[in-house]
Amino acid sequence: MRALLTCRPALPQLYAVAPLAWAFRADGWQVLVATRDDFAPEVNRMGLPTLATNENGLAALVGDWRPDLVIAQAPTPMPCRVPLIEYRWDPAATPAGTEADLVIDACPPLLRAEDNCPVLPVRHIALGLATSLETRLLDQPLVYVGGELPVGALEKLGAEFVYDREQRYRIPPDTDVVVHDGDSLLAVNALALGVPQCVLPRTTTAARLTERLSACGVAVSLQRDVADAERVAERVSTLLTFRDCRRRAVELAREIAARPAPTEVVRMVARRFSVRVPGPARDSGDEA
Amino acid sequence: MRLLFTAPPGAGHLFPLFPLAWAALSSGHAVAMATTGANVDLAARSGVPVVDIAPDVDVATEYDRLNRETNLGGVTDPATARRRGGVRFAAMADLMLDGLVRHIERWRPDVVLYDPYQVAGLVAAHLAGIPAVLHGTGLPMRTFRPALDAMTRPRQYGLAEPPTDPAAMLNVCPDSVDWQRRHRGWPMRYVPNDLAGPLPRWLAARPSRPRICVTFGSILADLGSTALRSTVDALAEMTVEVVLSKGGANGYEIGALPPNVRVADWLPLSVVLPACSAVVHHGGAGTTFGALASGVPQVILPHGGDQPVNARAVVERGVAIMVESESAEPATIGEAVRLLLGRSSHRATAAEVARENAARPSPSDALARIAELP
Repeated sequence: MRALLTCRPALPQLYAVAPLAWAFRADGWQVLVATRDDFAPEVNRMGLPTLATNENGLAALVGDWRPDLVIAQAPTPMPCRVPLIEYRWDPAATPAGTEADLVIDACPPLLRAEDNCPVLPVRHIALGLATSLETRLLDQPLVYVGGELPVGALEKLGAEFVYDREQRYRIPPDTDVVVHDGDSLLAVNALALGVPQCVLPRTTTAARLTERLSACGVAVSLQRDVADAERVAERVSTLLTFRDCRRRAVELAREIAARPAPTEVVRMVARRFSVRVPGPARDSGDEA
Repeated sequence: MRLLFTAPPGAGHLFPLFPLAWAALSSGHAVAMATTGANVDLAARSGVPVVDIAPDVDVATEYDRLNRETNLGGVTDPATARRRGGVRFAAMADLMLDGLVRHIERWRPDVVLYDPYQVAGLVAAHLAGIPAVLHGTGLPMRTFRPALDAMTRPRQYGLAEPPTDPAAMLNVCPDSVDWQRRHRGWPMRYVPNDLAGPLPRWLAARPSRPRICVTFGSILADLGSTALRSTVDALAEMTVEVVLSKGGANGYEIGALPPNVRVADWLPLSVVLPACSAVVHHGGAGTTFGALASGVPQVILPHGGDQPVNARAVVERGVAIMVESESAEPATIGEAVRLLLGRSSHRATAAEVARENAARPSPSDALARIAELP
């Protein structure tokens, strides 16, 4: 069994699709991730072997490696009859019509704008860069700050802070509040972990996502032009004190956890496209 | 569920644990890998959160010292190998036990999964009163008793007798390869895994001539050179395409290479092996079982440690030919490879074993059973 995944050269794209790639690997599939040459080291750091490619090279690659399935983030028509699966996760992306045989969507439905395309739901797994585990020493609330934000006044809140200025997306599991700039992956990671969010949206796309998060009751937002250190501290303090957002976030995390895990989805997909699970994919055709 | 995996220094102890760790992560469980030395970086480069359980110890120096004192290269006597192995792994376990105990207190895992040689895993889980699960990495084996018995550190915790058995054992060896009929523990599919890296573009295409993979592991740099040269000479005259992986080792002195041999410092064998018609290697568990799971017949030139035992098992099963590495002439190696490529039953048998492996319960299935442990 061979699965070829494509990954656009951006960390959120990688961390969003890695759980599905792992699920294929763990089930004994050969997995290759086709990605841009300079991004390959990041993919390799998730334990996934890569094949360097560009958009045009994908068809040739499929012709050469002959995967049983192609899982693409931005699907292009395939030259041969290989089942094509589109993988979606980003709540800020607007899904277009698709050429794919199947769409797998990890985005929590509450965050999806209207979309009529039938999809196979998959659980979003909150991932980020794996580094050494920090061990917490203090019994204080933990606040994760993703990106460059005006957070100078947070220190007085009597909490512990994790500053992730380089946006490596690893939210510690026992975080109490996530502060971010409307980044899609941080938003869904926080949701999957059941952590309330304080969002200072940076772009109009991020602002639309922030509105949906607020409407779900899991986030408070702050316009960038009025967001100073004092106001950010005030919002975070509110999230730490009043537990409504936390309760709602935990509820939504449970809903997400009830969706099929990537490991289950891999089996569904193998059945659907009749990929024979027992036995290796081996047709080398090389008679000595 | 919170799963703490633990492995001693040495990549061979670490990489077989990741498929189950990935299955756990992609099922929404929390996972941490507790190890030390160079393995800390290797674990982080496999996407798994890692904790260094002996951060204050110069593990590289200590490990080198133990390696010299208890070197298993060329040791074929099983009793000597067990004794030396016991000394080495007990010393490493004593160095890691405190860190492991501390990390379990803080992180509060529900279960500890340990490599059979990582005896500190069994001790620490016992001290914390949580289940320990042995994760096999090749032929079925119990917790490495000589190391468990030789540990001294558990006495500091008031433990006079070492714990006996884990709550469960995961057995990744297909039953038909387990010729001594040990069949220990819960069956689990072997999933080939090594350090991820880029696959050279030319290796993604199907070969026009049979492709032969040659690899002598990552720790055999000097020891493997002679066997490697003989192998290269043997394959030079054949109409085959040879891909030689140095396994990240430095210090190989191979000399000039024939035109049908291409060298890579390192190759992701999980995607390279399945497209090969045969593999020539040293009998390390990772390559032996990777080839088994990929359905590729093998020529094995064992050097020492567990390699002769691995070789014996796959020879008994009819998927491999063993060549004594000390006396390996190119002609002998060439003959073995020709046999595998020709009309012998090795290829068909290798495919049969791969099917048998793939039909065993997956890591996800094993995870479901682990979740039911008390």
